[in-house]
Amino acid sequence: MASEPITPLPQTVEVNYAKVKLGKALFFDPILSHDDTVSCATCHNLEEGGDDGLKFSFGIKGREGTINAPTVYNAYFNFRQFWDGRAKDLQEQAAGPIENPIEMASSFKEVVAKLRKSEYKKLFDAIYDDGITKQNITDAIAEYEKTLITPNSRFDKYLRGDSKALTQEEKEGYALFKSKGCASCHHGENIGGNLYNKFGIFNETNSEWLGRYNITHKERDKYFFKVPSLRNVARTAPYFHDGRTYDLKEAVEIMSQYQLGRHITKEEISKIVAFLKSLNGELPKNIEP
Amino acid sequence: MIEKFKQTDRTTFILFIFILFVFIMFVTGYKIKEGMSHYALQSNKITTLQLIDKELYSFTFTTNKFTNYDEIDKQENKFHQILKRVSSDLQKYNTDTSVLLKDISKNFQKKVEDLEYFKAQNSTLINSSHFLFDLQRTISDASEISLQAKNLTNETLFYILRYASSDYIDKKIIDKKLNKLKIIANNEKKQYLYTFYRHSKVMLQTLQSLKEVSQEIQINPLYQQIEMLKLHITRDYEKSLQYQTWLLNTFFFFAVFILFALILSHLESIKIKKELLAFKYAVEHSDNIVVITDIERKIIYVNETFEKATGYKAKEVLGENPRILKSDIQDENVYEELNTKLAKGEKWDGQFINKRKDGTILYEKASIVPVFIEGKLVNYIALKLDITAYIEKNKKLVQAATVFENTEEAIIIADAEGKVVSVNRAFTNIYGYMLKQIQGKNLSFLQSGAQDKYFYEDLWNQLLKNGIWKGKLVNISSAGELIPVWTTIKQITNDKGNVANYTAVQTDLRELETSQKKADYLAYHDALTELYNRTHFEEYLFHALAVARRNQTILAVLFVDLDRFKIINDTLGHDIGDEVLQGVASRLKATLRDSDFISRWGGDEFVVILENLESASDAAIVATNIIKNLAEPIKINEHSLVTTASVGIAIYPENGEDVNTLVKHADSAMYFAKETGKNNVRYYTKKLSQNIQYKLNIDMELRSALQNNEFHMVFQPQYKLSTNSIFSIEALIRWQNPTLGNVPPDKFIPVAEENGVIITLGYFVFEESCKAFKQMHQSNTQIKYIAINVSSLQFKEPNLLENFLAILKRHNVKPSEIEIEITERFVMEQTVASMSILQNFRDHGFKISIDDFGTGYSSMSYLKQLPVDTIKIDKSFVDGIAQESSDNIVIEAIIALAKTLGYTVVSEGIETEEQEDFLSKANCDLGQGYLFSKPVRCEEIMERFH
Repeated sequence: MASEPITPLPQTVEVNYAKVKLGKALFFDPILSHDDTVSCATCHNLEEGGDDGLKFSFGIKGREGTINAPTVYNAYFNFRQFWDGRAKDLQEQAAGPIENPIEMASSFKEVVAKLRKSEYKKLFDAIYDDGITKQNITDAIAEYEKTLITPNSRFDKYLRGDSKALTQEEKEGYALFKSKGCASCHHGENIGGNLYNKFGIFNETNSEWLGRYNITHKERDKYFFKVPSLRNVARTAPYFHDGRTYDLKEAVEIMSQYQLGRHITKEEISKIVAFLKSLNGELPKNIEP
Repeated sequence: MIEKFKQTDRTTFILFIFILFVFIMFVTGYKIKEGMSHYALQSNKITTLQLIDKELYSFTFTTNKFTNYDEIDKQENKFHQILKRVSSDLQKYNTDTSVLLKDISKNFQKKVEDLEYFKAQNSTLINSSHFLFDLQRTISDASEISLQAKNLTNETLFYILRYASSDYIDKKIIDKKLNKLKIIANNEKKQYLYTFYRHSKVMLQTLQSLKEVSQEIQINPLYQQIEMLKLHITRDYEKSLQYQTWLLNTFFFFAVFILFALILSHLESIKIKKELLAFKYAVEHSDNIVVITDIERKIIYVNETFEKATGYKAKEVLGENPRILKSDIQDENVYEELNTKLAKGEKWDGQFINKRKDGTILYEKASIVPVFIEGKLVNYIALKLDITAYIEKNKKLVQAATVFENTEEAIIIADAEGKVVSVNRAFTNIYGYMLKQIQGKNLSFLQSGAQDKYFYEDLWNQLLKNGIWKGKLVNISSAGELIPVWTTIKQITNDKGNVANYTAVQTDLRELETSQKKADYLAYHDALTELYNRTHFEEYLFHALAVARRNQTILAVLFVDLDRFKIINDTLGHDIGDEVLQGVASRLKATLRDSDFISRWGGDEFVVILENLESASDAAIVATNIIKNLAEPIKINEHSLVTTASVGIAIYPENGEDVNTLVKHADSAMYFAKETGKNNVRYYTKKLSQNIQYKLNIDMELRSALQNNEFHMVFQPQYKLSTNSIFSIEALIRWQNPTLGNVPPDKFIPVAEENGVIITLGYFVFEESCKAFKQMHQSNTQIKYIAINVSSLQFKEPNLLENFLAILKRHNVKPSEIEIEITERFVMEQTVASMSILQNFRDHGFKISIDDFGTGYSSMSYLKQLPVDTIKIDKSFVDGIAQESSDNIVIEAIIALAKTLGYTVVSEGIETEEQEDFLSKANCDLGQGYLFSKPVRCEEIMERFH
């Protein structure tokens, strides 16, 4: 087992519990949106794999998004946030949807004013010297999101030495996962989430999004997206930034064609999918609103 | 002291500077340390950045090799965090690094982006290379594929791999081969070959991208910039360190310098301290009193000498003003002068007369200096020398000199050879020699020859042997007069015991010897009359009685007393009186034999001793002669005075055998003679003694009579002669004693006056009289007032008037209803003071009357000055009323005068109608006597006169 490209998730992450408590309240509170209809949890349903199961999410007043909402679970372990990696961490990410006109469509000026009139004032004043600020709101939410991790998947147990944690098929799937070249991008503790790569190396993917190009404006970055984590992948359909499929097998196949440029048999795909399912971890306890 | 203060100030200042420098050194040291740790920290971080950069750099050489990108991400993240911290830290300390930091940040950002691209391309490359190997193997094994194609794939893969690891392979060659492969693939329609072609194409592209991006990463100047940053902060640090070190060294040098200065200062202060200790020792053990005060003049220091000199302990006076020592005899001006001088900041010298704690006087010669330190007054120091002993000694010397000069005693100071050194004024007065006449001369010039040479030999022997000689000398003055002197010669020796001086003190005995003789005479003679005095009388009689006893002879003592001599003295003065006495003395001498002893007993009394009498009756002959001779008028100036005498005789052994008894009995006999009409002679008899006994009995009984209620009052009416009706009454006292029976007032009143009972008796009389008068008044008697007798002794009572007024108030009697009766004798004896007492009584409304008027010696001229309302003519005049009697004329004269002066006249003792008739005609106002009424009890008055 030495030197596996995948490493197990840590059991816990060190957090400030007061901030976590406040962040959780904010996470579930639609007060952050302009018309008090949308909360973080609206698109990141913690009971449902940390996303909303939709191709594109709906913001306030039914406004439909243009990109698939990634799961919030284990987001902490991603090296950047958003599909294009424009946020360097969770705190930066948390600010995004609040001010996004098709998501929460609010502004921090508005949010701060609303929070100051609410019971949050006391909670903030108790933790932060400067009370309610953009910085502190996003800090609290990010702190809560650090607790949204799913350790102890069967595969992690396997990695930790429990060879019975996986079935034969899953083990074979993992071997295929490595040998077919999936692991060259999907590796590390989050099985992805630690590099960008081009969506569609061998074939044109017909993506409407240009990915990182929007950030760097470099020709070479066109169609570059953050390689997503495969943790809980079985729970986070639909797949890809544009949610082009709900079927995991199809998603594996798309990957083999577009990224690897090679044919993988149906049996092989079944094995790989079996392996991918073993990546479902334990959901955290504090996910009830 | 001043030096010391300056020293202290300077030392404190230097010490302060030293501490300041040490502080600065400490701060500088701290800064160095802080700079050091800052530098070390930042340098470490920068080194870490370099290490990370190195690692990331080496990552670009791992193409086609699987790497867990978590590690790379971690490194990037770490780099980012450290750079952020370094940036914020350096912004504080190394402000001019911001451009460099910005560049670093920018280049890092670029590097990260390149690395991301590298990561993506590398992943692709890995997959492609693995797949190509697999595919090449598959193609090699595939039988349907041409050898040419197989070889081409092998070559292509070889070239691609070469291309991956080397820069010298031309990509065009590979492209050519791939184009060939593409044609074959199309021709042979083999999927494997086509796939191989595509993957190779991608891989080639990927490789090229990787090469490019690696190149980009490798030429990124990040590392150099970090190195520059490091150099920069190192340079900054070194510069700063250099500056701080210079600062530290500089201050260290100064601190050492100051420390050296401090040591010097300390050494100096030790020296000064030693000097001060010596100075302090000197002050404490000085013979001078040293007092130091603060500017408020509160004592802050005194030395031991002060304690010894004043008796105060230091702790008693600390904080006090030195004036606590001030004595009452200190001249206040001294303080004024002192304060003026000190106020000017000058030293004051002078003398104090202070007192010690025990109150004794302490003379001090004092200097007081105000102490200025740096122009500011800080202390006063008083240096004082106790000169009490010197002053006292000086005083004694002055006294001695004064005594020497002013004494009545002649004082001679001679040297060891007996030559004159000094003499005093008394010597000159006595002997008539001036000092300069006799200085250096041998004292023998004083020798008169009254003492022979043996006397002087003896004198010298005694003087040399005992050091002193006392005795009488008769010397001779310059005028040749013999001077008797009582002389004390003393030998004065010096410290070595050698004779230094002789002093002779001589008392002039001339006057003494004269006055001794005179004194001897005066001791036994009366100065006025030159008769023997009482002392001599008693001695003489003592001897005479011894002689008479031995010879069994008769001896008589005659007590001669001049009648009414007091009037002469009072009216004509003592000079006349003295001349009268001298005249009497010479007549007595002329009358008596030379052998008879005549002495003046005192005042107007003379005592004569007649010795060797044949019979007792011989004495009467002598006495009669005396009376006869004295009765002749004595002419003094224009006066012709008749001085009769009364003589009492006591006979030895018949009337007494010792001096006292005989004198007492002669005196008694003389009084008896006076009582029986004066100008006569009486022998002493037993009866006389009995009278004296009677008086003693009265004395005894009188003392308890008041308590025993033995007194009662009677009242005798005074009536208007014109209408024969009662006008007033006189209160009279009566004494009924169980053993003595009825004692008349003229017997007990004098005794009461002698033993003092008269005072209480007087109040009794006054109180009873008032009580009775009130009763009488209430029973409607027409009595206007009551006359009450008051003894002259009662007027010596301080509060008599107040007490009388109180009694009156008690009985509701007005003072105007009281007439105070005083005797004529009182008026005669008393002085201006008693007149004012009487006037006081009158002012309160009392009437005053003079009782027994005419019996004394009151001259009519007295009368008009007296504060009197009533004159009572004595019964003796009324008794003498007869046809053509001289008393008639006297009464008429008295009444006339009294009327002129506005007095009321009362006649006493009217017993016959003839008397009453005469008095009425003579215009006398009131009468009193048995004719009208005897004195009776109150009840009877009320009954008879209501």
